[in-house]
Amino acid sequence: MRTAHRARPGWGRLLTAEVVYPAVAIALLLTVWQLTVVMLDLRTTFLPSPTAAFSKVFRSYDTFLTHAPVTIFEIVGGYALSIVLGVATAFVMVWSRVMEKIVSPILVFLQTIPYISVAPLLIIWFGFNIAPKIVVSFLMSYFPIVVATAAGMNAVENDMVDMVRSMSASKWQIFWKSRFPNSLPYFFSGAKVAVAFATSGAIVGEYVGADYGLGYLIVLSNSDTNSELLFATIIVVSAIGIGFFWLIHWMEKLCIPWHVAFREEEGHG
Amino acid sequence: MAETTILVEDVSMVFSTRDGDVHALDKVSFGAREGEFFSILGPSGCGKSTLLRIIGGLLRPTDGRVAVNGSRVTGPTPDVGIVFQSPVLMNWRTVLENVMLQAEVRGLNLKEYRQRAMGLLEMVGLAGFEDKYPYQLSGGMQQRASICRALVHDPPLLLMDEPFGALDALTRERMNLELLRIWEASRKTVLFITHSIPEAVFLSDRVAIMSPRPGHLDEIASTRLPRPRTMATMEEDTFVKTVGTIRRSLKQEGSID
Amino acid sequence: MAGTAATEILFFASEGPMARPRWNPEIYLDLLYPVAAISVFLGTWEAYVRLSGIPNYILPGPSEILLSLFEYAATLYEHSLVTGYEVLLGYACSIVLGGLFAVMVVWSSTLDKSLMPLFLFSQTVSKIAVAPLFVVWLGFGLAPKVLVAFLISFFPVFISTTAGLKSVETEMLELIRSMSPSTLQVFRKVRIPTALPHFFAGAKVAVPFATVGAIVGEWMASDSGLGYHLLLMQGELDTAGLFATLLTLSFVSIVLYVVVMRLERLAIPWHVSVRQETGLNMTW
Repeated sequence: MRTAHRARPGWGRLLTAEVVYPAVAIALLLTVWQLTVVMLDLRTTFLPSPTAAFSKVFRSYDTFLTHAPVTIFEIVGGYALSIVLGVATAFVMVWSRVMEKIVSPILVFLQTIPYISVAPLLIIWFGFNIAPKIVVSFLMSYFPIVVATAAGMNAVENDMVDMVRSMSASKWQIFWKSRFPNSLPYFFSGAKVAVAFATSGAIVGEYVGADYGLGYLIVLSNSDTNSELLFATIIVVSAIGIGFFWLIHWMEKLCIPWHVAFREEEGHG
Repeated sequence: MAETTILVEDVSMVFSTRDGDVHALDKVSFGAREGEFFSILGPSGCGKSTLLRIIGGLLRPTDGRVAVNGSRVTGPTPDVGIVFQSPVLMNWRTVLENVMLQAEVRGLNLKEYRQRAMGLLEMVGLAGFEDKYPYQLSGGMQQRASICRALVHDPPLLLMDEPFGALDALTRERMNLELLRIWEASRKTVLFITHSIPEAVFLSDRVAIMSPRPGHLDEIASTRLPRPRTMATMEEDTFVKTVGTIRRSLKQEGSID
Repeated sequence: MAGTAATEILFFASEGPMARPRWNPEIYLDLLYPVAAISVFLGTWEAYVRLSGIPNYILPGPSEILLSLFEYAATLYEHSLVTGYEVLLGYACSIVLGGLFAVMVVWSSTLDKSLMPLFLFSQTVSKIAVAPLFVVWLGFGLAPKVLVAFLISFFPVFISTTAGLKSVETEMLELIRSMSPSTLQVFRKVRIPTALPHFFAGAKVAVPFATVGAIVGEWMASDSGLGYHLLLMQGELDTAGLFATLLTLSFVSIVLYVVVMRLERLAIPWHVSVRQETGLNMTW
C-alpha cells in the first residue's frame, strides 16, 4: 500500500491501487471458489461454496446473535486490559532506569512464550466462564503494545529532551510534553497488531473450554462436521476482527492527524 | 564595563565509555560580557557543543566552574533560550504551539506570551504560518520558528549550537543577517557555536577558537567590525583580514589541513 | 520459571554490542536486576503456596513444578520432539516461502498488484479460526499442525521482508542502475542486503507464532505433542504437570528464538540492532 505514495498519485490512481485491485483479486478468488464447488459438485461438509457460507451467516443470525456478543465482550475486556497495563508498563520502563533494567530482559523472555498454551491452566483457575478468555486475550495482545509504546517513548531525539530541559522542565513535563505525544504513532501501530491478537486469544480461550462464543461455535460445528456453519463463523470472526481494526485506525486518525501517514500532500515536501 | 554574563573557569569534561575515557574538554576558561555576541569556533569534535550544553546546565562538567548571570550553574540554567542545529520542533504541534511550549513549561501567563509569540513570528517573517505544522515549512522557516521559541520568554542569554549548519549557503547568509537584526533590536548576550570562520567573524564581537582532542581554547579574537553589519561588511578589508588571521591560527593548531 | 536460568544467561550474553568483550562483568551486572526480580517473585510464590495451604491443583509451588519437570522429563522430551518437529517444519516453510514471495512481489509489479491484495485479505481472516478446517481436510496427522504453524508465522516474515526489499533509498537504486546491472544483481547487491535486518526482525516475531500454530493444531486433533500433553494435564487436574509442560513449550520457543538471533548476528554483524541489541527490537 505504501508503494502508492511513491509517485504521488492522484485520487484516481490511488483508488485503483487501494480499492480496484484488491476488489478484483478478491472477487476472482470468490468466483474460482464458487465455480470449483459447483463444477466438482463438492459435498458441503468438505467445502461449502462462498454463497452458501455467506447465506448461512444470515440464516443462522440468531445463533450468531447469541454467541458473537460474548466473544466481542471478551475481546474488548482483554484488549482494554492490555492497553491500560501495556501503556503503564511502558511508562514505568521509560520513567525509571532500574525498572527498565529489571523489566526489559524479562519481557524479552516473556514475549517469546506462546501464550495460547496458558489457556488450559486458566480454565482450571477460573472455570468455564469468560474470565480465562479475557486473560488469554490480554496476554496475547499485551506485549505488542508494551514493546511499541516503550519504543515510541524512547524514540525522542536527545536534542528534543535537552530543549525541553532547557526550559527548566520537570521530569513529568519532559514526559508529558515530549515522550508521550511522540509515542502515540508507535502505540497505535502496536495497538493495531494487538487487536488481531486479542481476537485470536478470545477464540482460542473458547476452544479450550466454553459453552458460548464464536470459538465454541467453531469447535461445535467442527465436531458436527457442519462446514457451512464453520465457514459462516469464520466469516463472522473475520468481520469482527476487521471492525476492530478499522475502529482503531479511525481513532488513530483522530488522535494523530499530524502524523506522516495522515498528512495532506501540500506545501513543502 | 559591562557585567560578565557567562563565566567559564577551568572546565574539563571526561566521558567514560566502554572503550575508555574520552577527554572532550580540557581546562576551558573564558567570559562573555552582557549584550555581547560571542562565538566559539572550531572543527567538528572539538567539544564546542559539549561546552554549550555545560553552560546551559544540561551537562555537568567533570571539573571546573560555570556561572551565568553571577550564579553558579548546577542544573538547567533558568533564564536561557537554546537553538540547536536541527529545529527540534514537535511534529504534533503547530508553529505557534511549538513556540508556546516554552511558556507552557515555564508556567508563564499564556495569554500574554501568546501575543509576544505572534509578534516574534511576525518579526522573523512567519506571520500567517502560526497554524501550520512543522512539516509544512521549509528548513529555514523551521529554524526561524525554533529561534522564536528560544526568545519567547525574553531570556537575557541565547545559546545557539550551529543553528544554521544544516541550511544551504544562501539561506544561511540570509539567516545570519536576520539574526543580527533580531540581536540589534534586543541586545541579548548570545553564545554562538559554529565551524564557519566567516560566519563567526560576521556575527560576533569576539570569537573564541577551539582545537580538538582534548577540546581546549586557544585564543580569543576581537573582530573590531563596525555595527550594524550588512552584506557589504563581508567585503571590507578588516573582515577579510580577520578571517585570514583566524584561519592561519586554526591551521597552526592543526585543526585544518 | 525455575528451569530457565541457563537459558537466560545464553540469552543475555548475546545481547551485548559486538565490541564488548565476552566476559565483561557488566553483562553479569545487568543480569543481576532481572535475576534478582525473578528470584524474589519465585520466593514469594513458594512462600505463599506453603503458608496459605492453597490446594496444589490450583497453584503448585515452584519447587513442586521443578519436581514435576523431572518426573515427566522423559514424556516431555518425547512430546517436545513431536511439537518441535511441527514447529520447525511450519517455521521453515514460512521462512522459505515468506522470503520467496517477498522477492517475487518486489521483483514484478504485476505480481505485487495481484498477490498483495490476496495476502492482505487473508490477514483479515483469523488463522486460528480456520485451524479446524485443516483437520477436516488433512486428517489427524502431521500435516494440519505444520500447515497452521506455517499460516500463522508466514505473514510477519513476508511483510517485513517485502518492506525491507522496498526500503532501499532511491539514490542507492539510481546509483546501482547507473552501473547497468541485471535485475538479479540489483537484488543481490542492494535489495537483499538492505532487507536482511527487516527479514530477521520478521523471522524473530514469527517464532512464537509458529509455536502457537502447532499447539492450536494439536488441540484440534492429536494424540501426541506438548499441546496434547497440556490438555491431558488439564484433564487430570495435574497443575504442576501443566506448568512443567508450559515451561517445556516456552523452552522450545526460546531455543528457536535464540538460534534465529544467533544467525542474525552471523548474517548482519554490521546492523544497529545487532550492534546494540536492546532485546525489545521487534518491529511491527
